[in-house]
Amino acid sequence: MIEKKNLVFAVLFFFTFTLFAQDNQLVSYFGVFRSTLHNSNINGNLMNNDSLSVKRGSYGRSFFDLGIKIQPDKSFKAHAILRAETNLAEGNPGRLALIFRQIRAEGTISKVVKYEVGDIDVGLTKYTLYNSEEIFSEFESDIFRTRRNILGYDNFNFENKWRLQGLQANTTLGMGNAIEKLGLHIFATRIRRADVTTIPDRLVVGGKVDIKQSKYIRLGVNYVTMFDNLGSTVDTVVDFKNNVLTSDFDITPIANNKLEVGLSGETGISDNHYYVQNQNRTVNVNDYFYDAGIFTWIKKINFRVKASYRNVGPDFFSPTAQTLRIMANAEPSVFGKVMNDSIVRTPNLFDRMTDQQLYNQRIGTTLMAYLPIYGNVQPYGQATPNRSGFSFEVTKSDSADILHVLVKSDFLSEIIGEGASDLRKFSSVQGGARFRLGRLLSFKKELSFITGARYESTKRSGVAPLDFSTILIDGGLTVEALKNIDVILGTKYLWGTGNEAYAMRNEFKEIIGFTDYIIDMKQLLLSTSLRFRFGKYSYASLEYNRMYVDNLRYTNTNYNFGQLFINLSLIF
Amino acid sequence: MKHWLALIIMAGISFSCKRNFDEEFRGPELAIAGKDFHFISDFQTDKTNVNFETESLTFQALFSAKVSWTLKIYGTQSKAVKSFTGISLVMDNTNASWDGGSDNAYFFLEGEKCIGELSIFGREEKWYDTATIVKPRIPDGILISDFDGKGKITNTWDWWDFFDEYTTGSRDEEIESGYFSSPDPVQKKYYHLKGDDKLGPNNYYIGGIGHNNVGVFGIPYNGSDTYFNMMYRGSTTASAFITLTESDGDKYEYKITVPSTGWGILSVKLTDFTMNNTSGGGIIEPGKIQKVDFLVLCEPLTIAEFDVDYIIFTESKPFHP
Repeated sequence: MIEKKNLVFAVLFFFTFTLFAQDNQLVSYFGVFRSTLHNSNINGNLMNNDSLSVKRGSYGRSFFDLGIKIQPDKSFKAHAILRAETNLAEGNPGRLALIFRQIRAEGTISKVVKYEVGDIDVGLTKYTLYNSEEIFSEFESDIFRTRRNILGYDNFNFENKWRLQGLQANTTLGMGNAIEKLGLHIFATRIRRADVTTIPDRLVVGGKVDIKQSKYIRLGVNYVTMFDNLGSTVDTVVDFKNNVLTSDFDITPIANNKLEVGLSGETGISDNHYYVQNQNRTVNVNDYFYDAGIFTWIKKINFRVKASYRNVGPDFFSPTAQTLRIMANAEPSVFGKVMNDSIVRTPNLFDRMTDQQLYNQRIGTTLMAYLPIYGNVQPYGQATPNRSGFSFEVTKSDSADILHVLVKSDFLSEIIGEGASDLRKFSSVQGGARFRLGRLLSFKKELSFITGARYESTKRSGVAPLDFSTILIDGGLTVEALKNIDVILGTKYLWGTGNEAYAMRNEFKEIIGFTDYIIDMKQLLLSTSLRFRFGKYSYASLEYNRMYVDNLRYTNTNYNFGQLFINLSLIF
Repeated sequence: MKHWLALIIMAGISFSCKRNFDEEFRGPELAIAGKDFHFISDFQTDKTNVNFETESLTFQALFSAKVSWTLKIYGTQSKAVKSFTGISLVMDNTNASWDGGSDNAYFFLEGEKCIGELSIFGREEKWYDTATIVKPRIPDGILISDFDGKGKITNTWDWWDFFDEYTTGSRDEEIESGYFSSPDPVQKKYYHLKGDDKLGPNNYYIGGIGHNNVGVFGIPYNGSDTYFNMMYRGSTTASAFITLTESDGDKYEYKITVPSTGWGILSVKLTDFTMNNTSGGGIIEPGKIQKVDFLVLCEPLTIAEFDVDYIIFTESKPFHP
């Protein structure tokens, strides 16, 4: 049932805007309707002798996000997105929830400064403010990309930005001969509300100054501070402060129509203070990083090469860049508990790609837990602390966008050991290719292949030897069989084997122990989809997914997971 | 050219930075069993029956290489658990000697069979051996009450509870109090208080637990070196003030929140209590303590639960079952 006060508020809201729309044509509407329904089942050795856990179920939801934008003049506009949502699986069509999904006002001041207030998407660099991908997924089937987009929309994962509440403003100024352009970006957000007595407001404030001297030189200065507003509570039980100051640059001595050669990078420092009253403890740490390299772009063949070296200190802490978007050990919403409903099922590849319940939207104050099988070389993204070494990247694409190829590799090492003085050595190679055969053959219909792979290795010798590796393979085929009707195939394969000892940390980010991670596991996902497209962004799809999780050491925990998924998405 | 020069200088500055660490590595020391790891002598206990009133039990093993290990000892009847961790070539009485105590809020029991489970870091297998407890360990300290007839307050009827006037009566059906029989955590009874104060003007105050005067407890410890300990549990909405009263009128109190995930052990140094009545001079004198009271509060407009058991004073160190 809709709560009465919500209903009244919603009716007033629409009534007001409808009146406004009648008087003023500057009111416009936009929206997303999505309805998803899936029937899932879980089988295999894991479910044998299990009479209590759920083994089959239908789940679904529909929502309608109605956005209303009002623009009284060119310098100001405001919009609100109201979501009406119903859970199809509850069997009660009258049960509807209404929430405001997003409220934002934006505009320009004197045609120079752009500003946004309300729910804003904020991002800077990979070391300051960045929402990293949960796994290498740049070259995956359209089936998986679609599921990831659905989740990304629900979770506000847009362009590696964090969805926060506050305000931001930016401007670009022409400065004359000495400096071609000066860009300014500032933001101020609140990520936690005070409880009046002991838990203070927590704020994230920062910005960027970006100086483009010419096409040869660009220099940026980035700053993000995250802190507790101590005056907002009667007592102080925690006090968290973290500052990150970095400088990023591009220097391109050779920049002409045929070739660009230059250097780019970022370097910076972090300073962290954390006080916890009931432990009567204060910890202050600071550290630095640098990441710089040389790049070349041969424009005629659209071929790019980059080589870089990075050194990210073990105490470098940038919560807005290192917080994970996935809670690795959270309980999945589908078949969340197994073994007679007693044990939380560890999320697999498919869960991580499709389950909103696993996703995190809060900036943390410590390094979150992760599972090495999904990424061990840089689990906290580019800003992963305690890493140094070389990275290489090669990309090739053509102007017709027929072929796009990428290969990246990292050869990294710890800076200080964990649990032993010997250092872990990390290596990874990842890449893929997207080949639009239809375009090459001048087909009017879509015909494309995509394939991707990642190999990761972690090794350590000495008294605490480690040898852990993973292989991730992606494959996909999209065929437009009839006009606007696509047949899509997709597969993912992940194999992790060996032993790792990943760190357990306390709230001060200190390592307090290690988890003995011994694994020999294969995960295979096979999917097929029939998609009907109508309009540029709207579609309906019927897909079937089958996920196999095989633990080669403990075969009694093997299971497979099937899901029939129906999706209708209308975007206008 | 000057662009390249500027960058080389910047890179030079960055690369010349060198960190100095105070420690050789981060975190606790770790030694992982390699591929050729094996036992030179098997994992086993030094006796099959143990009287913890007079002796301890040692778990023994000899490894082919120094490894990180974890020994967990489970009671087959109680919920008591004891853990040891080590990094060594050998397990013996220097690193795996057990005095019968537990790490959680449960006691190992007389006649109970215990299982020792050894895990080696880097190995998925586990190794086991067992022993039977002939007599359990006698905890150190001055026991005030285990609510089962032991301690300074032996009569269960000496304990009583009281409620805020707005918590009692027919307006609140959530009130429960008194002794409850349960295996948690020390076999039989504990004291339970539950209520709300939704209708009262002070909708955070439920009531409390107290006892009749049985005279001073006779705690022979120094005031600066005495711990107050108890087992407790409840709801996240509950908090409580513990008040200790001396025969000379001095009173000191300590505020706690209550663990909601099961029984926990509270250990507080008396010097961490706040003196709120100094009529006896305001000096902590454990030998004069004669009362232990609990005042229970709840979050506004919620229901709170508070359970207490095994109230004991210890010297120099917190209590462990």
